[in-house]
Amino acid sequence: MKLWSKIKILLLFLLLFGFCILPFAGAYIHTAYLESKINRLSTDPDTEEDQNTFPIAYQLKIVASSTGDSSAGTVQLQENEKSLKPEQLYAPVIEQLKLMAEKGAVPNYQYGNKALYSSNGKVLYFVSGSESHPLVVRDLTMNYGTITVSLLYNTENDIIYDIYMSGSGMKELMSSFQADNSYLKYLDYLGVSEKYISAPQGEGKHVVSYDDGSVQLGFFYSYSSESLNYWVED
Amino acid sequence: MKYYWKLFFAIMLTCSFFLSLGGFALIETGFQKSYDREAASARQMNSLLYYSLKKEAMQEYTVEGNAVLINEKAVFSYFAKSVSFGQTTEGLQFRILDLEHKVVYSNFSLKPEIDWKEQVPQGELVYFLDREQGKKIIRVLRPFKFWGDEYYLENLWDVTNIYNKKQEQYQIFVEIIAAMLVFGGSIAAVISYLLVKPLKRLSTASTLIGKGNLSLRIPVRGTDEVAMLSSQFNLMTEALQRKIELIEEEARNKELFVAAFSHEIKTPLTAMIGFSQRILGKAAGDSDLEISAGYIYEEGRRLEQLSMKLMDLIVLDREEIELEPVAASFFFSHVINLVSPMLNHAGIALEAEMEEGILWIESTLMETVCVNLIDNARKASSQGDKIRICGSRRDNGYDFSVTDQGIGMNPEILSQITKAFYMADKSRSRKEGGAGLGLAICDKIIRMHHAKLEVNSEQGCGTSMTVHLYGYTGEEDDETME
Repeated sequence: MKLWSKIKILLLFLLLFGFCILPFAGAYIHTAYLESKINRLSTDPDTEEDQNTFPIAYQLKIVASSTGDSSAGTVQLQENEKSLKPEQLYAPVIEQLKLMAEKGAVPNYQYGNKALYSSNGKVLYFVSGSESHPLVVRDLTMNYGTITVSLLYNTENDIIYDIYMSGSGMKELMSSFQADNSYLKYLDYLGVSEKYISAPQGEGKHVVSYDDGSVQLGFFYSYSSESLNYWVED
Repeated sequence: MKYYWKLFFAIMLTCSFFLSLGGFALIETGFQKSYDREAASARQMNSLLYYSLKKEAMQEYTVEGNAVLINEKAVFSYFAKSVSFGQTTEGLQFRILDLEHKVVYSNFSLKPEIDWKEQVPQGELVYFLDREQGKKIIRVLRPFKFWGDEYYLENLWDVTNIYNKKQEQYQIFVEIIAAMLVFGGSIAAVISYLLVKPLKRLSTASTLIGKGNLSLRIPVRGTDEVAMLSSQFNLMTEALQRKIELIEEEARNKELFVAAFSHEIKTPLTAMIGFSQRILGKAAGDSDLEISAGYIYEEGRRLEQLSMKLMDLIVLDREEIELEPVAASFFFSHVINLVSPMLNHAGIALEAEMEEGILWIESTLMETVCVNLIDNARKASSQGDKIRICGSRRDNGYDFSVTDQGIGMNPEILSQITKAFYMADKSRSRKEGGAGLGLAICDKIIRMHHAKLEVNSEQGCGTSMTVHLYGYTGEEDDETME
């Protein structure tokens, strides 16, 4: 074989090697390109629009999806309102509880300030693509001794989204409470239109579906002689 | 470069190129999508931080009379301590910078490599890839206002995992490409061999046919292009064989004609020469008759020699010779004895210098060669010139040369001199009784000996004709002779 032929074969082997390492060179260039690229994006202008002005069903949807899957981001803020006393801070919530009792959604009780409060702080629920309007909620537990009320409420419009009542004092309260249709009172309290509500389903008929065409939700409720619970799920 | 290598590299280069390109496109596209997703998460994290800060921290601590934290750094620090994403604060790395990019608050101690200090206008967000202690991070910066001053909220988003994943994919790719080189290379080598094999067969066949094996045919297998080529090659060989047979037949006919003609004119020529001698004998005193008879005699002799040489040529073609070892000294002394009278008569000196050795020759025919070469040298020389005969041994043979100091020949003539009836100087040759067949006969005899004739000549300086004989075995042959 002539020298030139040998050189050509050698060059072709080198070319073959070059083709084989081509992706690595490409990857190096791609990384270098990404590292050298400064990306600029315009951000959404801040508006005064508040998520709380959205329909209640949409608010409930955000709560349900945030406590369920990860379609909405959540930011938790530990308790930092040290300047306000709990009686002042939670007075609007007690008013809402009284309103629910009036409507027949929860048993009548002397919901007052004299309770032991505990809270994990505020939670901001962000909807993807609309981060400028988070829904600010707080979970709160009020211990009245014989009964304990745990609830999730909106810190800005004070609407209670989820509630769980339990304790030894519940037996007496539930004996005089019409629990069978209380879920309708609860929906009435929330302001959810009945025309989008289906009949209770499931074993024990403790699930009610909501579908207004754009929002689909499940209202769950359960009760016994010692407890009462309302919550929403996606 | 051989066709085999061309095919091999064509297959391998095409495969490796598209495999590399495909692998690169697949890995990098996947990586880019992951990177975009991570960048979106980093931006979203920045947004969540920003709106959390805006929604809560900025409101909570700006209430007049209720302020428990009196400077920005304390506010940011308290916010950082209280905030968590989802269930954990792990991985949440952010810092607040002033407009000169000095750190006001930071919840991490990392030092990114890029010292980026450009200004970002309000309403814009900037993000870029950076490195920190071997990690790849996306940095997102957003300007915001707090207590009337402007700051940057910067968060870091670790994307090392997607780079690690990419590296893992490239490691797999290396294994794939190595397997391709080994297995693909083997397959490409086999494919190339199978494709080249019929072409090699064709090449070998054409070489053998070129050497005269016209009866050879290539087996035709399949119906592909190579099979068609083989078939056409066979047809071409058949046509060539028929043509050559025809030419050979014609040549044989010509030979027969020349042989018959030479034979037929021999008897009348003998009569003509004999009668012209008788006329010459009785023409004393009649000069015209003497001249005419002499002319008839000379031309008759020339024609007789011509016919004899033609016969020799034809006979040589049909003869198979048997080579015998002959001592060089014996052979050349015999030749010198033969030519000496002729050269003495022409006034030309002969100088001989022969090495001892054995010649594998047919003596009579090689003697003809020597005599012809010396006779040609004589014809080219003038009175007083010298002709030199030299002989020397080689490893596998014996060379001898006849050199004259005559008129020489130019290169155009040199290429023609072994052709029958060719005469470099016709008038001179005819005057010397030549017919243009001497060197043709020499050439034929030399080829019958599987030897080689080499002619070197320069016009006006003389000619040297060398015969390279093969089959000389040196002292072993000397012993054989003894």
